[in-house]
Amino acid sequence: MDIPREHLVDMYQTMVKIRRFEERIREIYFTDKLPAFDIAAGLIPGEMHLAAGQEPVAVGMSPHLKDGDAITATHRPHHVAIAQGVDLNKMTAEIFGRDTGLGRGKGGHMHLYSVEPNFGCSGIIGEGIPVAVGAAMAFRHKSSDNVALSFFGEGAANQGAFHESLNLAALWNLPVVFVCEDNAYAISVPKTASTAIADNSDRAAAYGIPGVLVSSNDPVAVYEVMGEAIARARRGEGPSLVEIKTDRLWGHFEGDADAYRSDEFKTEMLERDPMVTYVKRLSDEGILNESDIAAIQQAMYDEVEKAIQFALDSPYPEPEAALEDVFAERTVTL
Amino acid sequence: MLVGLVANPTSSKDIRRLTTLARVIDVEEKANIVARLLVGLGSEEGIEVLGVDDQSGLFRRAITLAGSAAPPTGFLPIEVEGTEADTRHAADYLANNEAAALITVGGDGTVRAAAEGWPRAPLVPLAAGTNNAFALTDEPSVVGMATAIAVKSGADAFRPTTAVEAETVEGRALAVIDAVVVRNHWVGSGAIWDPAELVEGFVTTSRRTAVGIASVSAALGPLEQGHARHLRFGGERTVRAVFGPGLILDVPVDSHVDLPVGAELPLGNEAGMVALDGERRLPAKAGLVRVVEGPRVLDLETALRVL
Repeated sequence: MDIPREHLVDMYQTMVKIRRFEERIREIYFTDKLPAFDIAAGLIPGEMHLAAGQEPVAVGMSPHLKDGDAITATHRPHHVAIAQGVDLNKMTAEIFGRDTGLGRGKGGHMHLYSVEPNFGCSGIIGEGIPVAVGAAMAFRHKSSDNVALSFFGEGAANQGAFHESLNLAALWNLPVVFVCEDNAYAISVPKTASTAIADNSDRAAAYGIPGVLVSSNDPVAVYEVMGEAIARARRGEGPSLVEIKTDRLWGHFEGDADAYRSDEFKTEMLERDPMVTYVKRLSDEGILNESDIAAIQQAMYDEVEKAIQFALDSPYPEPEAALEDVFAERTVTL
Repeated sequence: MLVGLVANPTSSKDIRRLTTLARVIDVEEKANIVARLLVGLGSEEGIEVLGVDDQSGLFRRAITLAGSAAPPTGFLPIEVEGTEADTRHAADYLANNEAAALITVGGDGTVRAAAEGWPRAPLVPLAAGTNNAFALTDEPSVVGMATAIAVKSGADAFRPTTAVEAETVEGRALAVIDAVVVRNHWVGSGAIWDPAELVEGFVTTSRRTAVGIASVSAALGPLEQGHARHLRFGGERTVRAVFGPGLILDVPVDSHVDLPVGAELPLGNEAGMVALDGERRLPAKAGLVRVVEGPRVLDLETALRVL
């Protein structure tokens, strides 16, 4: 299978958008928080977890998605949300706590929920894994060929929710792909200090489902593997577990001193930054020239700035809105 | 006598878990395989085993499992990166320190990396990969015992093999089973699983029980030792081959010719990548492939007859 040019270019374009978004959020996040780091101050109060370096994990799935597919992600969700096509204006407004945001500014960056496309994430580790299994059950009951994808970190794979979810998905042969983003650190804890095995993909064997290890942070490798895993689920052949070794270029959260990772480790990550290696390969293959690359970058930068401006121009929610949208009003008939 | 051991913790985990019926061989299972090897090696006095202290802890786990039945063991003094380079560096160290044998535990890609580090190694390739076209699929304790007997007795139990070397604008690399040009321009997930991708290939075996491209070669008749077979894919004629675990396909083969050691052929410039032992590695542009002598591989029956 040679990969269609538009897929290769789309993946790069989305990677640029994600990286630019994370860079700009980082800049704005620190506005008014320094010199003494005040987490409640500034345009974006609260914690901030950014995914620079993990772009390939997200963009590799995008060309294989179709309308109605459901995705759950982690407390570090921006790359996955952008790659699924969540409205960037509403997502940015949510991060800025504005009334025009996905959750009317009440959720913040770790709790982004979108109905169309069907996306959700949570600050609770492993929360999205059983939720994705639930979405897959719904697809089964509706006889649709939609699939659910659950993104989670390597630390979450030690949670009971991970094992319970794989068991039920395997038992009921549900259309779900479990995607483990292994960036080697759960906050500051190295995987070697928390996990009894080297590769979480090994755990698929315990539930009788395919487990695949993607050992390089390469969008094309992820594209190929996710294409097969999603197609397999869509055909009704059941769940699979995909483990991707990736890099979190920055700290666990913005403001993290990141002293638990050595300078050598950080330097090695930068040397293999997928933004650099992937665009070089596209250029070497003659898929994009310098002018194409510049045009893509400008377009993505503009889109990000537009979303930020939308957020800045939006009002904060009124205090009395705090109790609105808490419970669903629709009556469910059994 | 020094015996080296390289076990690949990441073999048998690639995309073919989705495209064939191959399943994960987990690290614990590999540790068990290595433990059984160690027990076999420990059946003879005077064997010392040095292995890679890999990041998964596989070799350490195997030593624990084998317990007092293992021979004296130690770790190879190489810097472990957790990549394929570990296998090459280990093989290189063992070559320079005159090891009596090099045991690999993994798939065909693991054997290839070992052969790059020590091209004429006395090799004992134990299967823990996907296709295992090159590796031995016998019980590890038998393989360990046969290795110990072979190196202690000095019997001529290692048989010659043929390899192929690919050279392109981006470098040179070895393959112990096959070098195949595919249309795909990307390394990506590495593996090949679609015959429509194939342009041409060089195969070093016609073993009827082999899997993958080697199975295509086998269907075309016997190949003399010291030769590699050049295949051009496509056309109307097909051969039935076991293309992967649980995957039997009719593969179109336009023509084939057998080439002796020393022969070389240029690659077509139109194609994408050269896959070595099943893994896409080098852009094919301006490349050539030459037939060379490969590692020497343990013949179990010959070794065990010494008993």
